[in-house]
Amino acid sequence: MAYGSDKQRGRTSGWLLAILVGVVSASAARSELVIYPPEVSLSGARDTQSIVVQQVSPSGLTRDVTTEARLVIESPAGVAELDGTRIRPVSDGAAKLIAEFGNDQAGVSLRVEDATADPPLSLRQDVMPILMKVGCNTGKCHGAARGQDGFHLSLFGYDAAGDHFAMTREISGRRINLARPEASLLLTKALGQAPHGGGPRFDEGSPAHQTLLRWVREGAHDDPPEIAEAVRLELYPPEAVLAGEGQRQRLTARVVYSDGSSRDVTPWAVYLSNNDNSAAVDEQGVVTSGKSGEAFVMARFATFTVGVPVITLPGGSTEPLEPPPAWNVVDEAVHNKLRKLRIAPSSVCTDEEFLRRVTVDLTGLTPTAEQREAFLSNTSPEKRSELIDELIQSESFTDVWTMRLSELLRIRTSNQVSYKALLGFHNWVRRQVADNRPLDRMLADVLSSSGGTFDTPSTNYFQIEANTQQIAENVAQTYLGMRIQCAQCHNHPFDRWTMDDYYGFTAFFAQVGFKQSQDPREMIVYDSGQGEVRHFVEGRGVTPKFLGGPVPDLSDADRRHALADWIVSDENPAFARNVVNIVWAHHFGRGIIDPVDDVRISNPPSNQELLDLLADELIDSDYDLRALVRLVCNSRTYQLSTLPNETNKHDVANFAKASIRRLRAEALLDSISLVTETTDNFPRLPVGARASQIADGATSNYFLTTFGRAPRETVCACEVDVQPNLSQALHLINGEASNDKVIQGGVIARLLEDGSSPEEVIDNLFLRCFSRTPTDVESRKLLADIDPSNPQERLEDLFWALLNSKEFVFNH
Amino acid sequence: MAALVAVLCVVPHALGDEAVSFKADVRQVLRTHCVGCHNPNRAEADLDLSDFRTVIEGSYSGEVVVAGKPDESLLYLVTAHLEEPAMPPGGRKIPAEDLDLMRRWIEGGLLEEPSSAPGPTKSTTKVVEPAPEPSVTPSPDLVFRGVHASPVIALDACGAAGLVALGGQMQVILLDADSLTLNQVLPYPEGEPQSLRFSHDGALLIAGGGEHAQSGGVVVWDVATGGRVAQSMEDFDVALAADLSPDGRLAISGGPEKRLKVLALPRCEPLHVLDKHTDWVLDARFSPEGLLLASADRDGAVYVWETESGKTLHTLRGHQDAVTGVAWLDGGDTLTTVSEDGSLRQWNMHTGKQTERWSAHPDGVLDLVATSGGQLATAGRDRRVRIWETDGELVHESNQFESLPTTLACLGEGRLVIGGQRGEVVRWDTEKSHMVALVLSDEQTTSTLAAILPPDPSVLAPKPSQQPAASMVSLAPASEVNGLLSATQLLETRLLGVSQESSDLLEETVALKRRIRLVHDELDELTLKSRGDPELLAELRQALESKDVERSSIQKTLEQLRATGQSMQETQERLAGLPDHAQERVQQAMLLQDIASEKLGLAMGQAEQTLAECEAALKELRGRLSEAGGVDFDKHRKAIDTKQRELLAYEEELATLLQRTASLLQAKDGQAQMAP
Repeated sequence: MAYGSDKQRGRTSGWLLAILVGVVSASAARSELVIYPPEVSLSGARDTQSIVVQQVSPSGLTRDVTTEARLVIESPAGVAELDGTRIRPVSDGAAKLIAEFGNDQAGVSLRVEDATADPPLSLRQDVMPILMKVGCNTGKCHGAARGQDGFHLSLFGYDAAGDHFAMTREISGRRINLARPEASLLLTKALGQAPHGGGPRFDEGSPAHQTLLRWVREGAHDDPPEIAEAVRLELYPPEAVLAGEGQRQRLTARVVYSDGSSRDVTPWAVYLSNNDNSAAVDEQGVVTSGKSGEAFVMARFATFTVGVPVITLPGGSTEPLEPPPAWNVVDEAVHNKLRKLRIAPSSVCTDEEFLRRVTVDLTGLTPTAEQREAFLSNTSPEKRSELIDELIQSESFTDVWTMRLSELLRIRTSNQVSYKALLGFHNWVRRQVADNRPLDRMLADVLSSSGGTFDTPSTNYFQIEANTQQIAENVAQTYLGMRIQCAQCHNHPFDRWTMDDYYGFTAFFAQVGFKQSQDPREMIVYDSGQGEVRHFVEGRGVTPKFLGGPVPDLSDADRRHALADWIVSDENPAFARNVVNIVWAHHFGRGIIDPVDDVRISNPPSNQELLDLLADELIDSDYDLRALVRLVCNSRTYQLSTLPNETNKHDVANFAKASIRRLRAEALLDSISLVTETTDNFPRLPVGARASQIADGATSNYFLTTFGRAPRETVCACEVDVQPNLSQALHLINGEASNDKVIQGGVIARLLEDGSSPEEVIDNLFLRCFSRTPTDVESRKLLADIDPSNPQERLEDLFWALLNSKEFVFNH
Repeated sequence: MAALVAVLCVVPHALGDEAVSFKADVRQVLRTHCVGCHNPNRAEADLDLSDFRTVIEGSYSGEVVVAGKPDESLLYLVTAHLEEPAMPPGGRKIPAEDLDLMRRWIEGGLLEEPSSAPGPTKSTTKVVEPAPEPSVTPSPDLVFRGVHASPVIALDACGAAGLVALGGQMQVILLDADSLTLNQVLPYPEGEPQSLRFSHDGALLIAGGGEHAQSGGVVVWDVATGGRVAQSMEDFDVALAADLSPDGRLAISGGPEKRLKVLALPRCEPLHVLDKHTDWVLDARFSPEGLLLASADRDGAVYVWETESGKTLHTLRGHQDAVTGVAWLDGGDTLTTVSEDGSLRQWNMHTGKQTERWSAHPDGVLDLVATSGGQLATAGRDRRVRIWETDGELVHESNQFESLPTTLACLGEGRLVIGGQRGEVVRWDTEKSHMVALVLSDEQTTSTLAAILPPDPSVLAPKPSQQPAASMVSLAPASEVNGLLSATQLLETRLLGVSQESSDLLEETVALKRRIRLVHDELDELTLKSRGDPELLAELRQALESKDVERSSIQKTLEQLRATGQSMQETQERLAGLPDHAQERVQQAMLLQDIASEKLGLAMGQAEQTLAECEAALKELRGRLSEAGGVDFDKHRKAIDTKQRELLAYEEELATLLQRTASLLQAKDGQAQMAP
């Protein structure tokens, strides 16, 4: 079963898991035996099925017992026979396959049709998979844009007809020799009989060789037009939890065709693991465990990629660790995953740590000494929750999320977009956030908007980027977190998107019309009702089709309205998941799917249950941003300490401890200005405005650019850069942001003037910058260096040093 | 394949006690496993293992073989996987018996030939190939019968000898030109011929070919005896192009090795190795007098060389894709080339300039021959064969074949032989209603082509019937004879009239068809034009860009001016605040400042005006740019519409004509039946 289950199923499995865990802890547990695939159906003499028998222990560990189990095909006899772990058809009929291992038993039904039929081989069903499996059509071989020495195949086989031409008719008689099939260059090169730049690809007599040779012998024909297409790929078992290194788990892959038939493609799927260290997979689909950790093992066949999670636990581990009690549903989902991984979450952070973390995340500013005082003196047991509520209602919260959404919508002036239009758009977004308008409605409005860019500010989205394909790519990345660019020229190599999907989605934006308004800076966006997109390879016009969804009835809706309605509808789980993932990443420095805008089958969520849960919560709250932030921040998981324990020190993806994150550019500058009591002057904004309030992506200054403010030139989440680098360090040491501001603000001078002792000033500075008092050691060492008669310069140096410290620059 | 190799290397010397030698044993081992990467064209690690001399020379790391010491010979060590890098790459060892041969050759002192004396590891410089012997005798039967018919790649015909030569698998098949029946089979154990050419008199036949990506070269036969007169299979891939000089003294050969070799027959000594081609050589031909030779490659380049000196006379650049055929016209004054880019081009050999160009088969041209009547025949990916006058007038056009016509040969005036993708050979007598095909997969069955290839009406124009069917009439009673006779005569006249009419109609049809083609061409041209004049567009775009740059620089100046103004104002304010004793100075300064600010104002005014002008110009340019794309298109669209309407009208007319022809023919048949 593919891991990318829909929302409904995700929810159910979450429940099931919860029930299962309950049962396990309550009653005497016993192991279970499962046979994969869940039923065996053979059609034709060539069809065989490899099977996998998995034992699942009560603690969740799995073991591949395929070869150890006793396999029997039960009466009636003679329907099929066992060849090792593979079932071959004998005669038409139905039977049952039974597996026994220890005290456990399992069975699946078995059906055989057309047991003696052996139809000719098909280009698409038999030959193309081999070209992919042995690597002919990869990007560095014949799948390269120019092929190899004149022989070009479509990348990963997206164009079977074109490949048939290249093999048979581009240079007649060379690559395929119908009279002497074994002399075909296709075979002699791949066997290494003729010198081949790519080396030998398969052995003489191997299944790949036999299949290709037979296809040539049969005449190397292209398929008839009515040939069944692959519609789905299934990969079993759906999960593996292996204990210790060197454990093996076989996989079995099955493809389902449009005519309802299915076929075992275990030998022909291409396997890859996203973490070879923890679970490596060989070309026959056998997983071998390595170091403890988790991996996503994928199989690729035709245009499909599906994967199963494989968890490797340290050798000898059996019982899961019991996690601390959950504070809310978020913790339950996180703990369920941690339990599987035998990881214990860190302890909860201190009040001071929490105050600083949540204030920075929610308002883009460090907490003031007054805020700290108020929080620490609050004796309510719910004081953390109260603080969260207070911050969520602040103006700064609105600023932070206006900024995040402006990045997603690429609000920026350009040759086409005037400042006036842009400001309108920005203010519109800010109003939506301030009014807490449901995010689905707000974002749907943008997609379907028509009108003047001054009167209806959301139409600016189409003026900022007017290229049809680019709009479609942006929408997919921003609204769904999916990058579909690859599919413009070939089927996506690591995802399910085909060129049909790409152009079907692009077609929704083919009819965006523009006309000039009276004001030359204003453009009117409308639906022109005409215009089509053309398929890149086939040249035909493409009708709009939702990405991963159906072809809509567009008889009485314009295309963008139909698309906007679908994107935010329950039929499209990707939207809600994407929104919660973006919000989650803002608070944890890492998405559940990471990066947040690279959702694809080969980049699965680290915790599907958590993602589904948050998406459900978002939908249930009517897309209430503040409710979602409240839920996330009130979780124990958000309030964990950054200090690791023995079990979670290597983990980064499962939120078992808090991560240490550099403040983003705007927050850092605003916080420096806040603690130094200085102001910044940004173009077209009043003096004293915050960096997080800048409307225009094109506006920046040296500090913001150096610390990675998003210029909003693309929709990529990578534009917000929080990676540290040398120029940042140098700028903080030498630049105007630290030294000049310390002097300009005159904080030290004022404090001394007010009669503070150097010790008090030091305390004050620590509270400002770190939201904590200095330790005794810090105080003593610092004081020892200060001349009490003339302390100002030394104290200013200290202030500068604090601004340069990691404790200030990072959120922790 | 195994059988082929066995034939090629003749006797496995090494199995007996006889010493292992390079020529007899090791060369074949190296060829099979190593020379793909270590050959003169692609000497990986600077090592060439194709020749005794170069093997002895070694690689950039020095000698690779040391006489008598396999354990010090790098060649053996890496091949036996005793040392890195293990060869061949990919982790697989060569067969043990081949490895053993290599070891025994090194142990035995690196003999070049079985008769060589073991000794110096330096090369024996004189490399003399023994004169080729007709090692393979011609056979009357097919050497090989294929699983399926494979495409006809190599084909030539000789009208004088009445023969068609056809490349098969491991054989060259000579067919009788009239009956298309088997005349003779020349065994070709080297593999598959890729190119066949008769000498002008038909006495010699050359085949270029080999095994794809493994071996290749040329073989020359004496057609009369079927014996081999020359052979050279030294290449590492098939020879795709081969030709004989008119005097029969020279041969040329070229292929994926990107070289054209001029060989002196019969010993096949290379006279020149021409290596200017950057891609596979696909076709080559001597000029009619043999003074020049032309070769074409897959990258679209055509070179014309002087045969004697080997110097390049012309480099003909123009084709956008692989050049698949070359043919000489006007006794060698003109060269014609065809390409996968769809075009046919002609080049003047005195100037090297392109003189003619037309689209012969838009999807790509696969072959070209000059007919003995001075016309050109082309075969294309549109599955048609066309015959052209040298000025581009289309003379004949075949209907669409079911499979690609891959190759062409001229059998004399008005007779063409066509080879097809499915192995069919078709003889097309262009002036007669005669088309005959031989399908090779069907062993030797000859059948009329009617079922496979519907004849073109222009080819099969019915001739007026000259024979009244009257011989039976005399048997009828005398009294009726006269009446019948007069009726018959009446019918005859009417039949003649109808025949005349129908051939007139056919002529009209042909003319109309030409006209339609013409309009099609015009339409194509218009469509091309309507995409807008690219130069004008580019010019406008450039103007737009430079204006844009100008505008931003003016804007910058304006900003600077504004800044200056600002600072002047500040200075003035500061001056005003100075104490009284500086009054005089201050007044002076203020005056200066006033003058300056007046000037500044003027400058700013000017800059603003320039900016406005610039913006206006930009706007206009933008307008013009969009017009250049649009207006032209509208204008052309009208013309296109007109042409399309014209085309429709013609097509309708054609349909009526065809209908009339059909009904006429029916009437004629009816009347002919009534006649007796």
